[in-house]
Amino acid sequence: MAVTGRFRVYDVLYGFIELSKDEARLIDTSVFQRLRRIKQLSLANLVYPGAEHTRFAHSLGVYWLASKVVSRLVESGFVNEDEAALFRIAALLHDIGHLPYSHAIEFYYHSKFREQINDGFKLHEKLGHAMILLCDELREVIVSLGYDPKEVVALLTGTHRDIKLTSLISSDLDVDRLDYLPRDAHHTGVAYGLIDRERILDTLTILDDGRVAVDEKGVQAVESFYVARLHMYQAVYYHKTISGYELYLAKIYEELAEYDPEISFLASPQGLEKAIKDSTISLIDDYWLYSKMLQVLRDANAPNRVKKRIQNFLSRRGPKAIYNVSLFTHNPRRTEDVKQVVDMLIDCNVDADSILVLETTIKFLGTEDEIVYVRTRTGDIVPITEASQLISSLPRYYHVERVYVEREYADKALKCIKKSNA
Amino acid sequence: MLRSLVISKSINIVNSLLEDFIHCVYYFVEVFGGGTGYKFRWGVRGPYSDVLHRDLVRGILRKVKTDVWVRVERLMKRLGCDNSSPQTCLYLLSIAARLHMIASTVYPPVDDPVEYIVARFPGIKREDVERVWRVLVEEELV
Repeated sequence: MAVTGRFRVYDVLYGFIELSKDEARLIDTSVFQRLRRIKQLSLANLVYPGAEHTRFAHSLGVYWLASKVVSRLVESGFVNEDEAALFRIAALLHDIGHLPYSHAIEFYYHSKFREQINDGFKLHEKLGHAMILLCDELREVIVSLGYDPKEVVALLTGTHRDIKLTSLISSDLDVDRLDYLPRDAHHTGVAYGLIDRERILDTLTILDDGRVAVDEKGVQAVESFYVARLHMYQAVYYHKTISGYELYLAKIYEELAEYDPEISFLASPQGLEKAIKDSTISLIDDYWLYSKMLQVLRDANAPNRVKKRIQNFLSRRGPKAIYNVSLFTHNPRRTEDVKQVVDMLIDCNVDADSILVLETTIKFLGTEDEIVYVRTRTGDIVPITEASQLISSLPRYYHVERVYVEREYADKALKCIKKSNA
Repeated sequence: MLRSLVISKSINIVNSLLEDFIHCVYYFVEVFGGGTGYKFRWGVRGPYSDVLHRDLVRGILRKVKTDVWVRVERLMKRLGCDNSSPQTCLYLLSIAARLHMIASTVYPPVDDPVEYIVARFPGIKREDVERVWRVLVEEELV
């Protein structure tokens, strides 16, 4: 909806989000429109039926928050109008590289191409950077707005020379998290991700050396933000059933790559890069992968194994977690437990191909670079861990170690574990 | 000594100064072709790698070739680490890492890395930045 040189879109959390007509041209690109067809929470709708919101809505939300933050920083002279516009563009495009079903398909690429994707960026981040630099349609709009695509990427990769803007992207309290926590809570219906956004926005500032800080009166709001993160990771992002289906979909994708020539081509970083260059990536979305699965079901010559998995997936008969450790800890944790469980299952003749593993550690409190600082009433600057007793006592890490097996092997696997524990 | 310190499983991440030191060391490991794959962003306290932090937390660091360690140690010697306290060594190494990253990676390019550091980091002395810059030039690193 255009209103005298502005473009307005109604958001479920913020009401009207306004963009300039120029900025709206970014949204009109086919690669950005693709985000309308990628669910924000991948397969969370299998547990929370309301979780149907998209990366498109989230990206607009992050843009809105970025606009709020930088307009305050412009008023206080920390950044100029050009820097503010650059920050807004980076915020709008930060998720442009997501693949179908968001993080689910990334499991496949990260396990298959570990050597090529091992520098700390997630695949969707790397693809997003490539899209901004290589996708003609998007690059041309950025250039026509008077900005350098390389500068947008530098902001997203944390290599922009202006450390103030880089900090706003990479600190614990970034605009991405400020949007997705309440948005995902809203759509799933869980009562955990709520944060005092207005208070955080009102007290957020940047220190002279680039660190992100809040005024003392914002400490409680930051506490609620950290607590919301803990709860959302446990209840939604690493929900046992949802993670199982994500791993299952990645497994199906791997098998489709052996069977379907188009997926086979896209199932490597090089194939994805080519699809970005020729803009065919704009058609690679949730519906694309869904239709591929339906095609397989209709194909009399398709391998039975993949057909069965797709039927299980579509009928919500996904894998069962037979080993599950989800722990909040203050210290890092390293165990060989998952490997031992997998070895045990194989010894018990559970088909190795039916075993799926999830092992991850999420860091909740950043290092001194990333952590939020507090400007006290007396003007002192202290880390939030000193200003807040609550945050100092929160766990630093969330560990998830899980072994899933396909349902047909679940009883056998559980008996096997029970026997070994006896 | 450097190798045993960095490789030691006893590294305690709670010691943030030590972590800063390790990020600077590994930054130069990558500059010298260490092949670890760590990518560094432009952090408030110098080059910072999220994956290196993650590996430190897990106590698993990626392997570095011996000749690369020798080159890092040589650079530290040139900076004056042999005759200074650990804090001073970290200070000098962090200036070197910041200068190198500004001159090579950050975007848009910075015309005068020395002036850039002096203007933005009030705790860093101009004469130290200039001296470290000369070392980097002599070592053909910038």
